[in-house]
Amino acid sequence: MEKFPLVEIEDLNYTYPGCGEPALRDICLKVLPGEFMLIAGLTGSGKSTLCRAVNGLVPHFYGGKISGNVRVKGISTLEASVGELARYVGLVFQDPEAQLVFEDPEREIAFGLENLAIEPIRGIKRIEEVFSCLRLASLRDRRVTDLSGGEKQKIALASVLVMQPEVIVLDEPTSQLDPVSAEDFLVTLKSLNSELGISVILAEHRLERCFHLADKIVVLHGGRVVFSGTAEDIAKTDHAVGMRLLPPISRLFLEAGYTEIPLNVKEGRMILSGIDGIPNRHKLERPDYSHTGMIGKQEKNSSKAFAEKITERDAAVKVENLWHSYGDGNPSLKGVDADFGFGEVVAIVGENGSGKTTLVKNITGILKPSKGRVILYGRDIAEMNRREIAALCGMVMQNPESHLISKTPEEELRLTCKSAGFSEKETEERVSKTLSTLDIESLRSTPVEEISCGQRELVAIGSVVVRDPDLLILDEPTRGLDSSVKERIASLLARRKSQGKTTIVVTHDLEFVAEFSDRVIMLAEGRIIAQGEMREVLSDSLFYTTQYNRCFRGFASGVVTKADALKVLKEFA
Amino acid sequence: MKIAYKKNDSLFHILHPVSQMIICAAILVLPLLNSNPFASLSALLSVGIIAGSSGVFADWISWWRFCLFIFVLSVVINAFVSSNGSTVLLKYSGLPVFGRIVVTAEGLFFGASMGLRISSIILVFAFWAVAVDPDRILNLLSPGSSESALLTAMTMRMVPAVAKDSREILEAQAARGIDLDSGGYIKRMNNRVPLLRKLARDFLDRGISLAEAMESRAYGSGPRSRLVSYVFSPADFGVIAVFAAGLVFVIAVSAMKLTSFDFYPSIRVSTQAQGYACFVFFILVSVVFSVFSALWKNSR
Repeated sequence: MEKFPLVEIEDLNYTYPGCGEPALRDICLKVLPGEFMLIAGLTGSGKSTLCRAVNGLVPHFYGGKISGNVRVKGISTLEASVGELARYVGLVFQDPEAQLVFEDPEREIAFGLENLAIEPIRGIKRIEEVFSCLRLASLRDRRVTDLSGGEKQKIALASVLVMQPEVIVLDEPTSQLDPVSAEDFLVTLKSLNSELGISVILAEHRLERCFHLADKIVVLHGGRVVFSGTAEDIAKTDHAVGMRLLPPISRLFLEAGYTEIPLNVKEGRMILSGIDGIPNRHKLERPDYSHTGMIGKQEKNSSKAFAEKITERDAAVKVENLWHSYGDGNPSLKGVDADFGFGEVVAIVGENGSGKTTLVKNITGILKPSKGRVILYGRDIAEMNRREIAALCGMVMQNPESHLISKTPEEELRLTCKSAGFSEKETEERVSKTLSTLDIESLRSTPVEEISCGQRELVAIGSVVVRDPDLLILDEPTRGLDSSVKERIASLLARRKSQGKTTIVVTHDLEFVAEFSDRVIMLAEGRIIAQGEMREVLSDSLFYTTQYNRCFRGFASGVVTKADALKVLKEFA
Repeated sequence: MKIAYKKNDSLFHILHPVSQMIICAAILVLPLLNSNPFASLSALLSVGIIAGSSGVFADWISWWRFCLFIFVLSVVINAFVSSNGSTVLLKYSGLPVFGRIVVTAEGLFFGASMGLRISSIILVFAFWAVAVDPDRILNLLSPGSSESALLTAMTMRMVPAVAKDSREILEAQAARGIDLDSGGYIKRMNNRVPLLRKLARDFLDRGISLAEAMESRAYGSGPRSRLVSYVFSPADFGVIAVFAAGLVFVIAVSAMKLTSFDFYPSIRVSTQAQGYACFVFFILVSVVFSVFSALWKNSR
């Protein structure tokens, strides 16, 4: 018996006003009641536009040319208003900041119900149910401004859920969240789907955490559907775009020539347990870290102990007993000692609020230490002016948007060169070289507003790298970006390393850390709890490690990178 | 300069938003309708006392630098452009742009009075920004007028967001070696043009995103209900009665020109007793409010 689809999209074509190229082309899709559909695709593939087409924002809010049809519960979104469709479709946006109207979480959740003119007695009951269902009680008396990204996104989900939609559409809701918050958010989403039977359409391009949740996966490329099927199907399909979207663990088994492809760590471990010899031949060994800087949290003056061990070595940057407090008086950094060697790529990891960004802002002189000092290439940063610091050190902030104040990428890079006092000839050479290195030469004169998020990140990096600083700091450079952009950042890091230049990367992306960093510093509550060679730090962690390490734990020791895992798998294939 | 609302446990914060609006409106009208410096002083003292009793004094007073700048600017500009007044302090001809200038004591005093007046108005708005919950105002206004509520929501939410954006942009530019504070005044202003353009663009983008999010949740699709409603307490009735009376009082004495103050040709205080009574009334009422506020807090 054929099921009646909740959302039905037929031959949908859509072009934004003033754009020549359609954003969506010949889209045909069906979403069944209770189905969890994952929309995957690289940046600019049309995921966000498709999400907006389901709730009618496309075309009612954006205008533009549209053909074909989108029906939700049989209602055409071209004929019904966005307000009417809001009873059936809830949309959660990418940026939690930009979608919240109120500062009070309770009022925020009530907002949609008030718009639907729900009477107070029913409305208040629904609000309480949502608070309870999403376990938001602890947030009730807080201000939205004070909430973390994950908490804000949960409030956004609650404010949609309270309207009791039949389908919830989410446009990259975890792209701005750290891994812990993203995981928590997706678990909540899956439980809504499985326990309440609400259909979910989730657009994402970082799929390792949500691949296994979906009943159906749709891959978009250039505004077209290039694949539609189950997660297992996509893993078996030799499709270039699909392959790039696969979780690392799936790609690993595919590359190793396995026919059984896992979609998550659990499935990977089940496959490994069935391979003859692995558990017996590779005994679980605890590596000896006595020669490195691995330090237990309990060890007194832990980070200082490590710093003392490396005093012999030359360091490009030294951080000595660094303390930093913001206005509230609570220290965000508590006596951090660290060093960063010439030509090293050092990753700083840790949960949100652990002091990662505060540490690197102190290194660049944007923040002043409350106590302690930063030695930058032999000079105390307190004795250097802004110009002297900038000549040695550049930092790309977490939000690339804050770098982009010019009209085009070329102007953006030229602005940095002008500030550095380079001649016209040198400026032209540097701009061309940087655009070419980052593979954004084609965007040289494109207005910044017209380029994608990933490309903007590259332009922001270019605006710093064009000065060729000896020390480059990247704060969350891969957040929300697809693999093609990551590859370009990775090649930049490799290039800098070969030139003996130091790079510090603050990130949650542990697969990226494993592939490209030499050392890792792990922070928690303003203190360094571990620092040392990348392999030792990551293989000793339970959570802060790669999918490969989690998968092979107990089967093979010391597996951290893809190459490590591939070697073990090929041995037993 | 603190511009974001700060939640606090005070009598002012638990008042009905209508009461909060009436308090601010009554104090605001004092300098708005009167050029008399005593009116500005009265407004300044009144709002300062209420800010103190509401626990937001530190945030409110953080505006003092900006107000001092406005005050000095007003005095300087008036000294150069107004030659009215009988007490000449300085005469000079041949000054570029201005030509001949005559600085008078009355002109300086007028400039100072206007500076004080503008500062007191700014400080009433500063108090509004840090002590009045924008959510409550939006909730109060939204059932009646969709457009005005939307505008209020956007403006009140945007201001702190734009301040944050501005801070982040300055940090990002510093991080790549662009010093927007280098050079003279004109150069510094020129340096900031791209920053302002960027902020304006971000402001519009945020506005569009917020409008999109609101429309997605059926805002503006028809009549609304109100799930969160506010109840008038006895304290509200007392506050509304007293401050509404003050509002009527100040409008009446201003209309009857009982608060006159002449600056030119020479300073002449023609304020009547009723005018002074009005100014003192606001200060006394604010003191009484702060006493009740302290009692309310102690009783909890």
